[in-house]
Amino acid sequence: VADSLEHRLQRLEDRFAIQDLVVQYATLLDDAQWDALAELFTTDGVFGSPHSTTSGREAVIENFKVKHAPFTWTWHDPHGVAVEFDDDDHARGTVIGYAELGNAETTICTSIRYLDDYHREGGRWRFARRTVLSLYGTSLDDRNGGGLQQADRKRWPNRPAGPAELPDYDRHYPGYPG
Amino acid sequence: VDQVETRVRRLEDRLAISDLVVTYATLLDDRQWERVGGLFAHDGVFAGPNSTIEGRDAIVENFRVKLAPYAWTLHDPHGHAIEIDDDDHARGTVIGYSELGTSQTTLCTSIRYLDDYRREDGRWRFARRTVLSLYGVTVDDRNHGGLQHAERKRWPGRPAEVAELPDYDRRFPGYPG
Repeated sequence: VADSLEHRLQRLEDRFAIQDLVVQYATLLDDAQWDALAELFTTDGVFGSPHSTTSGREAVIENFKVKHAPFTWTWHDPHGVAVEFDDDDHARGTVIGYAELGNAETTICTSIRYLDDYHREGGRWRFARRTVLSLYGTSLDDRNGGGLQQADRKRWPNRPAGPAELPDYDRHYPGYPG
Repeated sequence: VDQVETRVRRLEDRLAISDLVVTYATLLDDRQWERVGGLFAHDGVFAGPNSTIEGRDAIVENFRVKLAPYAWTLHDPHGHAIEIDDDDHARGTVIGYSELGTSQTTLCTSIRYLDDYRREDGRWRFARRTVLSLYGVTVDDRNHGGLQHAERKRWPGRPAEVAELPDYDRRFPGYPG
């Protein structure tokens, strides 16, 4: 059965709205606009990394505040976005991006892959779940001095170095497109 | 039918505006001045936090002067959020990065563009483009602590300045505000 023109048009509009959401997340997070950022998540939205999961809009924002506090500035830089629709109000996406986080001691750079679930809630697309994976997270000094040659490429200051979850050769995090 | 026509037009407009942003980058890097000029509305504005250039000719002249010290530049727009206000007006935010090279050094800068777009003479153009940055430093400086300073605008031959990003105080809300 051919999909209706109206429905196909809606899907295209939804795709663009989701792309906007991904960019808004970056600028609002970097500018520490917490209230506006909270609105980008569903009420019960989840923010996860391989080792932690934060559930609920308020907890997600509180987690951002705590994580952001050690840095004078951050720069989140989303690049490619792939989106797949499950139904009219649910979609999934993969975003390739990069970020830098600076403070008085150092600048951290990190290559990111987001695995996203999007829901339309209250008339707009929001993050129902955002999972962050990384290929590396190191100081610029470390990156330039050979830090990426190691399996333990998550080399954040004041934490033990750990293995990075990307590349995902074994498909622990298939996400979309799987 | 009318509504579908309008909605399809909006999607076409979005893509045309994305094209405009990429075209700007390549034409600027290739120093195609006349064509760069054509990407702006006749009374277009190009602004930084501390300067405002008005009119297509003045904008192109400003680019010529500003880019003259560089052997090459690379402008690299990434994420782009767009809001269409009406048939002929839209706004957008672009996250990007650029490098500017000379025989002495290479500068790198993280950029946020706040744009007003206007359809003029049948095509989308920049009515106003405002450039903000998180840093503008030499690659050497970046790799050796240059980003640790509040004064992250560290262009050679100029006093170091405070960078305008992050915009914690919402001085430059742009779109999405």
